[in-house]
Order: sequence, then structure tokens, then C-alpha cells
Amino acid sequence: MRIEEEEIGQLVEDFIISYFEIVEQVTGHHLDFIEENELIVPELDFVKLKRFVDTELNNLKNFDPNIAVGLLSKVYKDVENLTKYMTDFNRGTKISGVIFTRDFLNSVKPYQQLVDELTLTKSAADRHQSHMRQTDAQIDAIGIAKTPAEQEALKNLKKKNVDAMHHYMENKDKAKELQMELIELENAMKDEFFGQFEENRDYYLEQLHHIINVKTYYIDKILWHNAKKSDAIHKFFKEAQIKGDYDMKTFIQYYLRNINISKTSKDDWHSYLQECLKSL
Amino acid sequence: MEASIKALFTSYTDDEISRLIEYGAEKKEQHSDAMTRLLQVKDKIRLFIGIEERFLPSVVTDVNFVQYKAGQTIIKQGDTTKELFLILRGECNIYVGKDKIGTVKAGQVLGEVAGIFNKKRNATIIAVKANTMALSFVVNEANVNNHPKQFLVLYKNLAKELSFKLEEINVKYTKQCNIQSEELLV
Repeated sequence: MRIEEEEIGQLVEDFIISYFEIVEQVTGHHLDFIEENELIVPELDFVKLKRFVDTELNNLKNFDPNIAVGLLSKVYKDVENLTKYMTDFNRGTKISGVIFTRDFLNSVKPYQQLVDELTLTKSAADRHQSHMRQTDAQIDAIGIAKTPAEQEALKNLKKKNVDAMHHYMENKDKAKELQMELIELENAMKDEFFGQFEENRDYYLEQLHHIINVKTYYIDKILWHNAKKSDAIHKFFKEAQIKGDYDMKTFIQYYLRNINISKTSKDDWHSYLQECLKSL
Repeated sequence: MEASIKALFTSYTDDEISRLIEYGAEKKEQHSDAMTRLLQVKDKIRLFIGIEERFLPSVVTDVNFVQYKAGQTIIKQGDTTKELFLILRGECNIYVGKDKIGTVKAGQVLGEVAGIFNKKRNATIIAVKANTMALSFVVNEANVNNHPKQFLVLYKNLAKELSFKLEEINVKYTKQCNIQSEELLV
């Protein structure tokens, strides 16, 4: 093989570092922020609960649009951007086979040299095959040489035909060898590539999930902090006879009490919310 | 840098950060005492070695420290409960039917088969000593897809725990039957 095993490892590693460079910067930025400020990691999965946080936000905004401005709006936008990024990242890295062929292999010079060599060799084989067919046709056209000139022409054509056949076979064999070498190299790189790629992908998805989880939890916290100070929300709680603190727990209870579960097809979601109540 | 990428690097002012910390501070109380204690002793528990501290609250849930009197049942054979128990202090006996089949000491984990594989409890566990203390928890399977790596570590640790138990049973069986361990099927 044209590339040593250690070299393959290095090539894959370099590609992976470069491929995941942005997500590394993004997650690094947010993880540092979370750790430096000792932000809370919630026990519940707020990525999943984002849907309910949106429900809370939309409901409370109807009574007091001012609760959704300032810091809340900023963190909300932050989470929206990160969520979109995670969705795109998830979708984009799922097609690791395509990334391997389209991006990685194209970046490996020795592999590309081999591809070029194979293309040239195949093209040479085609050219010689075509020459061979051409001389075959000319030999057939002369048929049996009657005159010395015809005999000389036939002799030359046969020599050309044999040469063409020799070169055709030579290039055909070489192309076969190159093809095998290419497959061998591809397979050697595939194992190394997919192992490292999947590992990095899973790692960054987990980190993104963690970041969104923490920040969504803070959206909920800011929301209820703002709600606590809003006269309009106080009035709404009073009129709706909502008893309890101004927090997610109270609102889940209110939500579950007031929706008509039989008319919705969200049984799993409601059971999940019920489960959440145990941890809130 | 592209605008869409730039938008991913939101920075917050000192005032905003202070407010975030202030609002989140209420949450500190939300970590149950048991979870807080669990986080403090996490590194000493073989089962949780390798799990990142910040992910532990997502991996296990319903964490409780429970104290048992001598003779009190911790797990009843045939039950469908899902808690796993880590014995922190004291000793417990294991019974299948009325037969005592073993003893569990501090540091060992109980109930992993039913807890992980959703099976009925296959033995009864009874505290032997007074003030036997256990940490009970449930593996939060709803989060497996969110934290695949952490769960992989947990399941590997659980597999190790099970293999230790198998080894102990083998040793015990070897002694009882006075046979060479090579003769055992493992």
C-alpha cells in the first residue's frame, strides 16, 4: 500500500480535527460559560421539555408581553440558534459515508494520485483497444494480400495490431491492480475514519444537548422570575384559581388539569409531564 | 466567520450573568439531598466510575438514601420494582424462596437484573444488621439517547458488577463441590 498505517491514522485525525473545528469552538465557548459561572445542570431533560417551556411562554405572554423581553429573549434566541445548529449538525453528520467519499477521500493526496493514475491507465487501455479494433477492421478489409504492396501493408497492420493488443492488455492488467490497490486503501481508511468520526459526532451531539439543556432550564427560570413580578400574571393566576408557586410545576399541574386529554393524541407527552412533576 | 456561525457565540454581560446565577440559585435546592450526597461520593462508587459528574443527574433518577432495621425487607422476590440498591453500610441476606443463597456487604450493588432488564425480582433481600444503609436509584432510561456515552459507561460498570458476582458464585461453588475451577463453565 502507498500509505503506511500510521500515516492513515494521522490523515484521518487531521481531517476530523478540521471537520469538527467549528463545533469544537461552539461547544467550547458554551461549556466554558456554563462551567465558569457554575450554571445548574437540571435533573430533568429540558431539551425535551422545551416544548412545554414554549407553552408556558406563549400562555404567559398573552397576559403580559413584557415578560418575554430582555434577558429572556436573549437566552431564548441563543437556545433557538443552538437547537437549529444541533439539528443541522445531526443531519449533516449522519451521512458519514458521503462525507468519507466526498470530503475525506478528496482530501487525501496519495489516494487522489492513485485515482488519477487509474483514470489515465483506463483511458490508455481504451485508446489501445480502439486502435486494436481499427487495425482489425483494416486487416479484414485487405483480406488475402495479393500484391507485394498489399502484403507489406498487411504485415505492418498486423504488427500494429499486435502492439495495440499488447498495450491494451498491459494497461488493462495495470488498471486491475490499481483498482485493487484503491479498494485496499479505501478499506484501510474506512475503518479508521468511521471509528473516529462516529465517536466525535456522538461526543459533540452530547455536549450540544447538555448546553441546550442547561440554557433552556434558565429560560424557564427567567420566565417565572419575570412572571412573579407581573401584575397581569398575578391576576391571571387569581382568576384561573391557580394555586402554588410561580413555577413550572404549578403550570404543569394547571395545564394537565385544564386540557381535555381525550381530545388530544398526546398521551405519551402527558404521561411524561406527570413523571416530571415527581422531580420538580 | 459566517453570520449564522457568529450567532452561535452569544456573549452575556456581567449583569446578565449575575442575574442568571441569581435565578438559577433557586435550583440548587432542587437537587435532592440524596443526589447532592451522591455527587459528593460519586468517585468512591465503583458503579459510577467514568460517568461525568454533570451527567449523573440525567443518568440516574429517584435517588434516595434509605435506612433499614435488622430483618427489614429491601427487595421482595416477584416484585416488579425497578430500583437498584447500593449498600453503603451494614449487611443483607439474599433468599430465593426460603433458602438463603448469599450475603451482600457494603459497596455491593443489588437489583440490577430487574432494574435494567425489566424483570421480576428473582430474590428477596433482607437487612441483617441494624442501621443498614442503602442508596436506591432508578436508571433513567428515558435519557439513553441523550447521553449514549454515559449510559455505555454505566452498563459496562454494571456488567463488571455482575461478573464479580458470577466469579464469587463460582468460587463458592468450587469450594462447596471441591472441584477445580477449570471444570466450571463460565
